[in-house]
Amino acid sequence: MATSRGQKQFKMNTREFVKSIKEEEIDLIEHTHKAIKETHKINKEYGFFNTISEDLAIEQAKEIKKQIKNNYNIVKNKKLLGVMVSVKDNICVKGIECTAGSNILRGYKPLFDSTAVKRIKEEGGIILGKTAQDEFGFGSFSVNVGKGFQIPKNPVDKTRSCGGSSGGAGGITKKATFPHIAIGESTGGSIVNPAAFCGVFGLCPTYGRVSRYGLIDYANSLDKIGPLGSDIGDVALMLETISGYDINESTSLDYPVDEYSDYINKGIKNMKIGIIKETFSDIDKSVESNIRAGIDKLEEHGAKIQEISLKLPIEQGLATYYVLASSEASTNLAKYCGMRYGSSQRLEGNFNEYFTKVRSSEFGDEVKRRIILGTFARMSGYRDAYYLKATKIRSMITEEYKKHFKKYDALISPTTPILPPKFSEIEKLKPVQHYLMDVMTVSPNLAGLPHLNVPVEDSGEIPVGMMIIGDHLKEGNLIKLGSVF
Amino acid sequence: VGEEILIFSCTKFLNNISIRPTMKTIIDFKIVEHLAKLSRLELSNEEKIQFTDEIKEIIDVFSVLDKVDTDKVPSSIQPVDIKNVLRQDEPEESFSQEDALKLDHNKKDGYFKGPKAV
Repeated sequence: MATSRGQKQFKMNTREFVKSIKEEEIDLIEHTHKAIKETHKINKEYGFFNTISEDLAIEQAKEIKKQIKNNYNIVKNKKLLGVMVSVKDNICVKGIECTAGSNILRGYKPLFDSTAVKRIKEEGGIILGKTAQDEFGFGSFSVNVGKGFQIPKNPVDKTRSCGGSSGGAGGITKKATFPHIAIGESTGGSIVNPAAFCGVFGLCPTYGRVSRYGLIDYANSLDKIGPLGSDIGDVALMLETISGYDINESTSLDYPVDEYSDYINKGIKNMKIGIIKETFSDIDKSVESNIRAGIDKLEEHGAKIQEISLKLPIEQGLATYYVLASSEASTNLAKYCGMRYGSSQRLEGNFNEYFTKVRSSEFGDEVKRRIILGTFARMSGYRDAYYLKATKIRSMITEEYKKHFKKYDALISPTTPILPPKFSEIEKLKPVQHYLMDVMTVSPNLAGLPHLNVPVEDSGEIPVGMMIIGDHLKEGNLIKLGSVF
Repeated sequence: VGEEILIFSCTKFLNNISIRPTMKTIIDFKIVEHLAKLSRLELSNEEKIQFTDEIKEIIDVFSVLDKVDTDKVPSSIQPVDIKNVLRQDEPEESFSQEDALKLDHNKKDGYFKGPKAV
């Protein structure tokens, strides 16, 4: 298992770090102060965080230190003891402002922890802060941030995007020199895309594998919480922490959770891999050559490689995804009206006038665009042609993947067709062109399939990511394959 | 790698997936105005013009869906099979009224205060 390229070599492996904390070789409080100081410094330059939760982090560190002293038996098996964990800003942490990158949620401090965060805290993880994202997750470059939010920059080249929508999560994962794991969220590619642009590992699990309780919804039939880490070990460790059935979330799967760490370096001899041929036409040449080198590496380790065709997901995926995601988003966002939590204004006019005033002044442009699009796709007269049609094509896309998984253990494509673009390039793109960037990632998301970004660029230059897609609940295969890199 | 390649990639994709509208394109200024009203959004005239152009272009791309024959295909609402989950209806401790009210500025006599209903 190698660390991702460009990581500082002195960075301690998370497992070794947890051991040192348990044996009190490292002072956790001092370490936490140092990590917070470094995070502030990085944040000033790159804008990866909406909030740094330093009071909570110090409080947790003190509590853990006390437990190690007084009740070692409680802490001895904790997997994330003292490890800094950043949380995407659409996942609730009790008492810490949670905005999903939107001005309409400014000031919202949840009264509860999301299930993922609750499980992280139970394993001794320390919450470092809330990472920057496109408003409600609506974007692939983290430039669609809400009014007054900062746009995170690529950790390798500040003139470029760090991807989205979990952009801050990808950036801090690359840049932190202390042991750190991020949790992000994906609706149509928002974990693997920033992982690819930042040069780190990111795993979007099977739909329902990780509870969405406490996640601010974008599109309920598509949203998944998952880890980003600087090596595959971190990703496996976090995935086994947050996975599993949750009584508070009726779509969470009641299916046993693997010890994903056990899949690391288990060997990939004779694993069958399908390379999706349509995803290699008209892509950036540097992306292509790096992915081809990654595939060669898998072959050297004994994997059996074959080219396959996945026409429907590539041709129909984008339209299907954007119809369904916008439709669901337009209903989800109906609840934001300037009452009960988040932004509020002086109560004036009747309720329609007040809701319209708050929504119009607090939502950003992309949010308005998607609400209008989604409302259109669900509108009487057009619903059959767009929304219903898309749900049927979604069945066909899932079916096509499932057919291939009868023969193959995993499928491979580039994570993105391009290198992380410069902000000056993004400015010139029209909204429809933004959407086209998700061509590789939307279909595995529509089918609810787990997918992993592996950083394959080898020279320390602009990162390139390769996407490995697995069958439902076969995250273990992805970890096995990812541990070759 | 520069801007040309990025824009080039976009254009290629557009060509590949065929943006020729296969359905009658129905997005116009009036529809956008109506949708905004339904969504409780107030748009300026410039915004309405801009959104009409942008959304028309997006809907044109969406019309690629029309090429697929879905006659005998069932709908998928979720990507994996999900069973109905029921639990015992047992009361549990919840947020206190005081805590819930902490999240809003507009409140009165222990209740949230909202805008006029009539």
